[in-house]
Amino acid sequence: MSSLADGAPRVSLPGGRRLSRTATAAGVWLIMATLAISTLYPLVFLTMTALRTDDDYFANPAGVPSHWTFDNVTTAFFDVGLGRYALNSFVVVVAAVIVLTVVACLAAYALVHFEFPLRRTTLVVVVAMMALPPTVLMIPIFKVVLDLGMLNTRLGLVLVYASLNLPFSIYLMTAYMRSVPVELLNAAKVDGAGTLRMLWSVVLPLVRPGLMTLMTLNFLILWHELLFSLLILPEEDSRTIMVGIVQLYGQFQTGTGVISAGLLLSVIPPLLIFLLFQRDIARGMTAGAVK
Amino acid sequence: MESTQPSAGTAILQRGSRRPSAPLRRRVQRLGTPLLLLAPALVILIGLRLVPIVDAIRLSFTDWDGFGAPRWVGLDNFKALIHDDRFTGALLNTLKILVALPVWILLPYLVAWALHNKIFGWRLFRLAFFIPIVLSPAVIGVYYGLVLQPQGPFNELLRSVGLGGVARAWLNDPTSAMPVVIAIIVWSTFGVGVLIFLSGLSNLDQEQIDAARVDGASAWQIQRHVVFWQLLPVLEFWSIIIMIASFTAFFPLIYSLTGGGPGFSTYTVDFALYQEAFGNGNLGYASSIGVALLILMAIVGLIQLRLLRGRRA
Repeated sequence: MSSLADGAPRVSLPGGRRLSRTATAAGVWLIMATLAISTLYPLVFLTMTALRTDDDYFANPAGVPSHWTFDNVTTAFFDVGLGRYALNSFVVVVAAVIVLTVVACLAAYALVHFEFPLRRTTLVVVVAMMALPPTVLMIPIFKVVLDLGMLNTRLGLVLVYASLNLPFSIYLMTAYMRSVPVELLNAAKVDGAGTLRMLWSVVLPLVRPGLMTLMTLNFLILWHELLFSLLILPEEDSRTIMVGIVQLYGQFQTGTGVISAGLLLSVIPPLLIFLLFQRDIARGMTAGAVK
Repeated sequence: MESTQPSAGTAILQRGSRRPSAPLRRRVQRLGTPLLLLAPALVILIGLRLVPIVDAIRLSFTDWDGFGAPRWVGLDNFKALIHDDRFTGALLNTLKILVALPVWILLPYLVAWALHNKIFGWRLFRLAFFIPIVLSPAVIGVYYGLVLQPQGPFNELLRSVGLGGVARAWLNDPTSAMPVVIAIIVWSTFGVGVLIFLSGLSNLDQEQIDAARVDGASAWQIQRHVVFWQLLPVLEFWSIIIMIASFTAFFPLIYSLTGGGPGFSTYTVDFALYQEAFGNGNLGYASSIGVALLILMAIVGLIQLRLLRGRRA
């Protein structure tokens, strides 16, 4: 579409501008493509490296395997215990997600649909807690778990996980519950519905998208968590997958293929959740920005 | 933040009279139901958030090894902190991420803008950019540990395009280790920024943009004078997120990728906090690092709010 060819000075100005715009667009596209390759490459690299021998990998680390093998995957899953660690993670994370969902829904329901002293203050404190990252509190949180005698117990980690994401969860649910019309609740009340009955049959069906967002996002965040699972479940039997992988990587004798297989294994559950609930996740991550 | 509170009178049940003469029994009753609903959340938040905040400050004035009882030492920890080279080094390393701030803010914005305008291949791009969200920081750390090995694929790539001279042991070289860590943090979080900017862009007031275009504004002028101001709240939100992240998001990456090394060249404040507490067993001293981190975050947060509010006024 370049109009440079006709050479008339009158046309060359818009033509030049168009050319520079094309150049900008090409530059932007190149940046995007480079970024996309860098974000897609982990999945490609881990799959290929997991499915080849270490000798084959070191002969040509960036290339395609010369022959494929499943040995690393079975080693990672059974022999070095990553299968068990994944199960440990699953148990703790699902329990924490359930606790979070129930507790956040009850709290948000109280904060949005009831009037009581200090209601606003409570809301403000909950939101303020979101700005304080729990990493800073690792020592006192560890101490609470220690004092409760819950170190090395799954319950201890479930409680800590619940506390990590509770402020955000309550905040998210209040945002959704605010859209439930009061008239519906009043009508249900006239029909004689109790407090929990109204929550269960009127409010929750209306905020179902919010519930999906809440659960998928909490699952992702907690599945990824490293610090507190390292502190609270250090023993081998109850270790979570993230701790397992990092410690495996720290051991000298572990092969690159086995580590890659382990990484791949740990990525599969969140990847599935992501592909199934992409919209819900995106909605949750941007909840704070648009409200 | 003001929008987090419900606008006056939305969805309030039991709005009954607020007269002080209401019988005490009824007031207790009215408080009873919401209090019961809130109880589990309050127990968790008070026990594992509010008490720890107070405890974090108390412990910073003690000497504690994690086993016995914490022993009060007054300001000793903080006095030692000022002269601790490892801590000041970690502080400097953490602050180095400020250098990456322009990229950290502009890159997601640029990408979101391109996606919003349906650049060629935008669906594939959108899918690709969200992959780091699915990877945990620990996984990202180990992955980059493999890819950046001296004989790993990244150096192979450099050699194959004739840049072999640049190839090095990226993570064992004190000059390159910290920049690499910072680049990885920006890489692993930009997808979230893209999401946030995308939702901001989809809520733009198109009429204002059209009006500006009719008035003959150039694309750049529209960006600068219309889109920028409309997106300012989103920008504010993103910058607060990355501010928090820049102080506390290093830990899992450092722990899995470099362990703070080579030497102490990738020691950051959050990693120092962990290492001092659970590596060296000085939980009291480490608590003072935590308090220092809290104060630092509060200062940076306040400056940030000042700057952003100032621009808006």
